[in-house]
Amino acid sequence: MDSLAIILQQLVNGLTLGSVYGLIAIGYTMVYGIIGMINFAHGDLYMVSAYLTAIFLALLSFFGIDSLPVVLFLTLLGTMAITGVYGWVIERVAYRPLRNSTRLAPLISAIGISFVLQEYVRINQGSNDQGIPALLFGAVRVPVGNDFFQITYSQILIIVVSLLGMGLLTYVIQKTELGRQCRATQMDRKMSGILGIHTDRIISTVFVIGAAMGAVAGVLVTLNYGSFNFSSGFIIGIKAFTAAVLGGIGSLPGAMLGGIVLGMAESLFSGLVNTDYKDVFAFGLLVTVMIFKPSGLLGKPAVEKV
Amino acid sequence: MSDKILEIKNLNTFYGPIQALRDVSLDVEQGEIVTLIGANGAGKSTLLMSIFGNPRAASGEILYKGTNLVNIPTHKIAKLGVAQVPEGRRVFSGMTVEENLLMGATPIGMSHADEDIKRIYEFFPRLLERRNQRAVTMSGGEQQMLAIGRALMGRPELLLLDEPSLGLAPIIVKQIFTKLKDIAAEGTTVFLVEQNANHALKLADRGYVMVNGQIRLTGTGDELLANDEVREAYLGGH
Repeated sequence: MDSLAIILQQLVNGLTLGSVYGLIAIGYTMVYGIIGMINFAHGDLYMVSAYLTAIFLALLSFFGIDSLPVVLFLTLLGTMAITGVYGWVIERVAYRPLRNSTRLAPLISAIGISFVLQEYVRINQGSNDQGIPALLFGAVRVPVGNDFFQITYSQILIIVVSLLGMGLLTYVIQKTELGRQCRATQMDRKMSGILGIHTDRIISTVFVIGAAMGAVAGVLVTLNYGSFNFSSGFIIGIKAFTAAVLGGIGSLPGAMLGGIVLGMAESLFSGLVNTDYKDVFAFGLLVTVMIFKPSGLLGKPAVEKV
Repeated sequence: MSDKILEIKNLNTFYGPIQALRDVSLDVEQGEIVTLIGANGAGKSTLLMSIFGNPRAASGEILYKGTNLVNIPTHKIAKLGVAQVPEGRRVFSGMTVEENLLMGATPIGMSHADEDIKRIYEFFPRLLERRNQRAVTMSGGEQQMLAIGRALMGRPELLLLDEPSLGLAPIIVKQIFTKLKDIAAEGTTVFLVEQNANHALKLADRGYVMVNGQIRLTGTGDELLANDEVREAYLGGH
């Protein structure tokens, strides 16, 4: 194969993978930004959303809805909504009661919730891989010299929906009253309360947004790869968390950028060097960035408040 | 009901095992400028934060227009018409000046925000020049103006200020205090906590002196300025 074609092909794959990392990383970074904890159960919410995708697809076909755009849209919306409810409940039940406890307590609780979600799904859905039939076929082929690279329709769907989701969220956070309240609560929760912001509700909202963005990733990846199981959230969760740290944890644009950089780097390394060591390369990249820029690509250096 | 806008009765507040306020009672009448002076650590800031339920009062009452605030959630207190300019200003450093002002409108909603922002810019023209600048890039005096402007955006009836003079050059302090006088003249009641006793007592109708979490003295601004103990402790003896 023409090496330029390989590079272009891996860039397309990397952008696809990176958009997914970015979507999931949003949940890690927003939650960290607002309450300073790593929500270790976030990857498992992604896994739950994969099952919900299959359930919605089955339900919609049962009710005889077979227009593909309608099916995709309703599946996306329904999965986002229910995963959002999961996010809300988890914050309410497992994290809020520990808010004024030690910093470590909600982290332990998050690991607990991660197990709870995995076992809950394993008991109810079984430990075997589940799958959905492919819905999107075909690809666009782009000739390069004597060779070509291709973008499948489901890759196009992933990239377009991810970028739309990220764009919409950025708009909400930057330009709307809700977004300003989120940012204010992130910067100074006590002052935000004094100004009349219901900060507990804002924290809940952030969990719902994070879970819903993770659900977008869950729907898209499930449509693309088709198979998943109860532990699917683990490795992709770790990768997305890496992306959030790489981009600067707490920074929303950082999470998106970190996701895309990580996805691109991983794909290029797989295509040009070696597939077996792609994870080593990805985490190596994180270590390298952390050494030279400990706050991540777009993060601000942490300043201890006195 | 009297025309007391704020009435604090026998307030006790703790930080863990440490008692920060002891049986504090004071009142502020509608339209007055009242100041609370005291040394660093006397409990002045704790008193202002207690009004917003952070920390919660252990016992006693905080009556705002007759409503006891002690058990009202923090975020609902601003909606009653109380605003605070906190110690250290606490502007949202990553937001622009205009966004900071918009945050101040939260208690009353955004429907008057545009006209109120214009009013604030007339009041503090410096903020208009800096409107799209992030708050972190501004000087201390400008940040103080922003913190006051932000508080005014909620159209408060009672404005609480915690050491607005802290860390500012004397000329800026003078400007800020002139502005406070204007704010009071427009009908907002001002309750001012200060270490800068000289400026504060000259501005205020009445004052209280706090020592170790207790109210030690009270009187009109002039009386306190003439008081030996106050002169000794807070005015450097002249």
